[in-house]
Amino acid sequence: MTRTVEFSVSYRALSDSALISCADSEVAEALGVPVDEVDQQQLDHDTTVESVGVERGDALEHYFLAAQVLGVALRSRLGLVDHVLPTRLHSTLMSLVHDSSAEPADHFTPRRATTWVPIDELTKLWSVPAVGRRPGFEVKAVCAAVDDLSRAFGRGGSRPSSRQLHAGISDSLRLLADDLEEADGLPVPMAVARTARVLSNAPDSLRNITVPIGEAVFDLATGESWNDAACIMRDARQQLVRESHDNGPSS
Amino acid sequence: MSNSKYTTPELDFITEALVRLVRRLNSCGLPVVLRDEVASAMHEYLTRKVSDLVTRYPSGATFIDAVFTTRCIDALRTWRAQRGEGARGERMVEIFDAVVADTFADVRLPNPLDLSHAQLQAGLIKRFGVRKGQLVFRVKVLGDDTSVAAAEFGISRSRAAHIISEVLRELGDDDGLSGGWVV
Repeated sequence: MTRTVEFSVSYRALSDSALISCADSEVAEALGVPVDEVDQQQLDHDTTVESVGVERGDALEHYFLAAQVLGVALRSRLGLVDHVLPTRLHSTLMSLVHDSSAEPADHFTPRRATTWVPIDELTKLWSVPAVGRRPGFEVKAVCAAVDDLSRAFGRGGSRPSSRQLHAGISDSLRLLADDLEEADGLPVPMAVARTARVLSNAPDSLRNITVPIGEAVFDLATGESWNDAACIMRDARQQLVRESHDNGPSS
Repeated sequence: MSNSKYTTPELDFITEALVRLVRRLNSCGLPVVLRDEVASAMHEYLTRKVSDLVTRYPSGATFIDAVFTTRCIDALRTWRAQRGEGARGERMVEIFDAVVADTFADVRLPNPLDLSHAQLQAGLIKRFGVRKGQLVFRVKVLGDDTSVAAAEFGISRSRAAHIISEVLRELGDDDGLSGGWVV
């Protein structure tokens, strides 16, 4: 019979964050080995995971123990949560996030659930890519590109009606740059989801600029190279500046 | 979001505090199993005391920064006691993030809750974001060396100088602000 481990899952709507944990002793009992060294790892700027390594012959298997996830609802809309949790725990968490029975106005009560996960699922169905902390020069390049783009949007549109839209995009890009600096090379999925949401609301007249930016920011939610994203941001800024000159008061 | 129990400033204070709390928890070394207890205790405290707190602290984030270490140490001690490791064991402050040490080790800021400083810091953070606001506050208000502050923020000196001059430029655009607070 497969041993199961009891996990408690809590979701706080007010801070859009989740905490998932189990008793070390249960995992130790299920595995038949003591759980001494818990490995705490930041998968990205918004996710911390605890796991324990168990030697199985020549291989070292990592068993999931606990996690803290920030920006759950925001990230889940873009599929930026499912890869950080074992499948069954992810399903339980999503059922809490999208709990239709919860009072819409009651953001104060944490939503809680308990679920039992077979010990095998804590390692076999859960694969986390190696944490990719981007090198400093890449972080600086992308921060500078996002910052410049934010300032270009901040200078506003040519018409008063579009200035508010430009300011909204500028603010979200500035927050993205702040988060990128703070994350020190780790992916920033929550900031990416927030920025993508703002960009998706851009009017048709800006789509030729915001769509490539929206696609580029997704690179910043992964540990893969950010150079392309920085390049696209720089191009978008140049295009924005060109268009604002073309649509300026003289034209 | 509406809630008849709290005024809008109180709701904003609670939300800002809880968002700051989960961010601080996510960047410290506290075991995840304890974070739920810290978050629940803080949540309960905030909902009970918010009417008082909102008059004493400029923002929810400032309040969390002020009490974060204490609350985490309390939770750790309780946890260690429950595991039979002794409630009065060594203070495990070393596992917390560098920001905590940074906040409380600065001798020029003996009282981090000094209202004038706190308000100034909160104003800068609100307008320019956490990183930029704190950087400018450290260098231009507390008078820290740009290189030292830049190193602590994990950025180059030139990047820090660029950020500071950008913020000052923006402040300079506002009548009377630029000369009002920069030392």
